[in-house]
Amino acid sequence: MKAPTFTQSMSWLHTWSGLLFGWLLVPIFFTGTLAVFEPEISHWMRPEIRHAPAEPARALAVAEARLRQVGEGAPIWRVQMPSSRQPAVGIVWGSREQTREEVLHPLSGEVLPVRATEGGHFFTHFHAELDAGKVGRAIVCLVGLVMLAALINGIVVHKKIFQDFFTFRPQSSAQRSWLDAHNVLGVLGLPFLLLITYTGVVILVDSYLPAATYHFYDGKAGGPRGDVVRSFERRPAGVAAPLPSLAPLLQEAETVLGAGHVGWIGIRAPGDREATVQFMRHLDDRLGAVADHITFAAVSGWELGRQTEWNPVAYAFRTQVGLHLVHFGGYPAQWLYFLSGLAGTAMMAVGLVLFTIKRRKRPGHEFGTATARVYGAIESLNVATVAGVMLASAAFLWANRLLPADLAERAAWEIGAFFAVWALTLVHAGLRAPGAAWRGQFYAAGLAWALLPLCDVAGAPGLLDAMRLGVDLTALVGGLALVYLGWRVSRRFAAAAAKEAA
Amino acid sequence: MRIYQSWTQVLSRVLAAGLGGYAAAWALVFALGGWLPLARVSLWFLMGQILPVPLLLALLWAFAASSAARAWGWLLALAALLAGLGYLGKVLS
Repeated sequence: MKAPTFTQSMSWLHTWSGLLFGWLLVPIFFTGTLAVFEPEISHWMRPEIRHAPAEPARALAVAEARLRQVGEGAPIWRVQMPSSRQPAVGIVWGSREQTREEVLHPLSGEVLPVRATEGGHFFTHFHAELDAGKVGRAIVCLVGLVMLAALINGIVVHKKIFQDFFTFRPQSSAQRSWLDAHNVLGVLGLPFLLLITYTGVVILVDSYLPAATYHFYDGKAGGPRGDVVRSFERRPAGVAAPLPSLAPLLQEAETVLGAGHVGWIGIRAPGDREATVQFMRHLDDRLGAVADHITFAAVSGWELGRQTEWNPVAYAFRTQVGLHLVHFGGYPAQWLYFLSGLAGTAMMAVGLVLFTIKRRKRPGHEFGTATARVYGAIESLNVATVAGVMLASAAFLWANRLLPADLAERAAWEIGAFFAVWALTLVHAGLRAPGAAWRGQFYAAGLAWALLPLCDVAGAPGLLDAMRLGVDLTALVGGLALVYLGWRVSRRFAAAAAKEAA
Repeated sequence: MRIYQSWTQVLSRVLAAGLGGYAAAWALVFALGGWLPLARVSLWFLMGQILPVPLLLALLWAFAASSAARAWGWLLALAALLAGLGYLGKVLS
């Protein structure tokens, strides 16, 4: 056997790593795409919260009043200021070990009876660690590296990249047109795909290859951050002193961080003589995911220190993080990421389909006598990891409206709905022929997303605000697209069956 | 498409990509740390940004090499060379 050429080896790697890792890549990419709108989805999932624009001073006054009521004796208080994407005031109080939290109306200060839910964070969480902790993050990191390799060897395999960019042959053979779709989506999305995958690996890789931490910091994981982020904390004196109003400090903080730019406020040892108040800037308008901050001594009101300048290399690192998280750039940037993410998901899904289409035409003996059964299993996994995960994601949102508000472990049940439906799609795909499985699951996912607005209105009556309406309309459009896809797929399979019969 | 001789060959290449790549990436951090005149905090945040590159190249190399033995050999040689460079830098400084 002759040694394979470079192109052959890259093509082999692209095919097999694409298949094996595609089953994780598609769910990771799809949920990551949804996670772009994490705040909007979280808002949708807590319909008890209404949009109510409030001045920062008012929001802080509301939070402060409530914390003084419930948080006495707690060494840590935190306030999350309302923003356009997160309209309520969040308060947290407790110790390092245990915290409690509430959501307040930013004008009236009323404690909002929000339902227990993981919110849009579930998609972010699943995207980053498959709901499986450190092992899950390691898998995602590995999948990211393989994805980068697949992008590179995809380019190598695809030598006529520029020429083929203008080639789309929807009327030619099924395999040819699927390949064209895979190529167009891949090439068009290439800058985004490289950026999002590279930065994703950067975020995760140090945990599993801690060479730098080991060599430069003697293995102390918190060391690098400690060298970059200045801390102005003080030890509590153990001497009581009443906490003065925070309003004047907010005013002073805003002169440094910018009016309306305070995102978080942290109060340490409230009620102690040495209490401190730290104001942190939000990240919504800069590439680098670093939060400028300023700290005051609470009792005297003196500034203890501030940080608005950063180590340039650390800032560059955090820019990679920021480019991945897309908190910057407002809705134009977020929609660009969202649409690019969907296109990337489609590119990978088509890649998975290509694998089986090629083999459906020329059944080989790659796996000996088990070949037919292995191809069947591959086809089922393709259906469940593409259409199935889309149905499961919709089920997560349906569960949010359908489960009773006071159910014990409610947030866990919502997540359970996601995994239960996903498991059912795998069973369904295993029992049905490929054509019926694809059609059924695309129709089901399409209907589940398209009918989400109805579920929203019926399950949580009341005025829709812009964010909820945005989620509903996006779900409707996406759902209709999936129904259309199901219809196209069923026609394709019908045509192929007719051709075979003739 | 069968282009590699056997499944053991493929498995060997997968391990070369993983273990060889890991060793080479670790050694690269050690080598750059020994020679780059940067503060340790800057070094750390620089490494965090470039770490995917050696892992990626090792992965591609492991399958592009004409044999699994060559895939292993070059990766381990590179890791040893980088580790030596790093050690030299550490001794000299």
